[in-house]
Amino acid sequence: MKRLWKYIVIVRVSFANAIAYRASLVSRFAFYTMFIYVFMGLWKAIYSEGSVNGYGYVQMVWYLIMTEFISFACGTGVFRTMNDDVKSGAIAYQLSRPLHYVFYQLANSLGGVLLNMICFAPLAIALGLLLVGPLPTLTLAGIAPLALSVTLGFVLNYFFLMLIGLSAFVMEENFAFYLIYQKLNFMLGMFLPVEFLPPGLQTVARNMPFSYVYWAPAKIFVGYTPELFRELIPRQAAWALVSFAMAMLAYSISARRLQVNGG
Amino acid sequence: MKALKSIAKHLRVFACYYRLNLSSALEYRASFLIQAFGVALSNSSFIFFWWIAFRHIGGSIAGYSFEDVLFIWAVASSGFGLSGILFANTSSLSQLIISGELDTFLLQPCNVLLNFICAKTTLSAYGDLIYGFVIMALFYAGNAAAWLWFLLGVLVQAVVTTAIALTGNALTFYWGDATAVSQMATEFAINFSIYPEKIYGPVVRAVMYSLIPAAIAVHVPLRLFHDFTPWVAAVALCGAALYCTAAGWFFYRGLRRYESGNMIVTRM
Repeated sequence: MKRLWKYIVIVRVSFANAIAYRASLVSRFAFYTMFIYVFMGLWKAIYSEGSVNGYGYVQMVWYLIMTEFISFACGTGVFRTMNDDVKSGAIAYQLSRPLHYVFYQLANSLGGVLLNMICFAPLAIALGLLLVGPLPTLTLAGIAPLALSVTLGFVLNYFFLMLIGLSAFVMEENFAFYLIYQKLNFMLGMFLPVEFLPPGLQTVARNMPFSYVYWAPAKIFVGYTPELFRELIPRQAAWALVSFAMAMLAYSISARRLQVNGG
Repeated sequence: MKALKSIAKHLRVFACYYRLNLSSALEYRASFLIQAFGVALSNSSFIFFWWIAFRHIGGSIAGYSFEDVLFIWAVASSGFGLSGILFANTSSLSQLIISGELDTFLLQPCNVLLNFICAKTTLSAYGDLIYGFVIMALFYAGNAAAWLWFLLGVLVQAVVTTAIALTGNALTFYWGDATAVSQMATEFAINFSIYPEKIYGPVVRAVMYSLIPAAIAVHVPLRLFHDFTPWVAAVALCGAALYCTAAGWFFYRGLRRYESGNMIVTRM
């Protein structure tokens, strides 16, 4: 419990920090609104030309509202922080602290994520209601599975970003890896539901972790059924566990190879 | 004669900045290549999105065919890339005003605006620039008219994008830190350029042709490529020139309000 308490304190401090810099939320609100507006217009045009099987127009807009919510609220810049720490030599101070570096970064990110979730959730709901009205397929029974799926999506995404961050220990520049990861997420669920992909690609997407960051929570949100829950949540949990194990393994290997100049 | 000499001098400064920026970019070759490749890959993911969308719908979306979308993507990408290569420092204006680092550019015997906007380059912008040309080479290889409007669109897009960023950042002279506003203006300009214009409502479309005139450089060349109308081309070019002149005027008017931070800066 004493070990856990240290990390809870870090979450509290990072939450207080995020509140202190809340002004930056205003511009992020504007970007979020702009993206939703653009994609709403785009999908309206697509649906007016023909139908896209599996998703109605209202469902599609809510799907994007959810994927963008996860992107804006649950995304962290941990890979960038780690890259900067390696370049500046500040990593030497981080590693010598009586904290596990991976868990310290997680706790440090959680404060901002919590504030983002609290602030972006009302905006996301308001935008959806204003632009397309209520989501007809939303049920009360789907709320708890949605919360679980969003949490698992966050964990999965976080440890992949941590893996990209850890690559800075060896490569010193990790932005290109982030771009590749980000675009895989874009293509396999964030902009497009997996069902829209050609059949061959669908199989690939369903067997890769990237779809479980955005597609799984958004799919549960717009079309919850107990069968869907049983199909997606175990896969999400398994990939979250794999990403955590990979991050821990990568940390133990890369920390030994790290070379810090100056300090 | 004096005016010609001045133009020649400024062209030499411009060429010198480009040479120095390029050689500093090439000093970190691996980083340069990785960033350029990363941006090209990033742009490709949007084409993937459009490919899937057209695969489901076929025909056109908001009046644009798949080839039309590729054309606006090519112009937008290369135009932003060219702006980022030649005039990347424009987006740093707000920070330079706040920190008082603009003094360096004011003291040199050269046009302040040109001297300042050319002083930096963005490595990833080369990826954007090349990406547009690759798209054109793949989908419009033998189409001379498409290439003509593409090249004209890229040049106009580069200066209009710079003018949009300049206007947004110059607000810092008047309001205090306007970084967020200028970032938003640039983000709007990007979004106005890469989607069919008909997906936007009438108010937003009015903004696309006035306050943030990104549509002039991207959607108008596409229209002219399909159906050339001389007066549309003339109005678009005049509109772009007028906007750039207004941006320059806004910058110089704001510059009168600039207060030096007496900061000692070394430019390496």
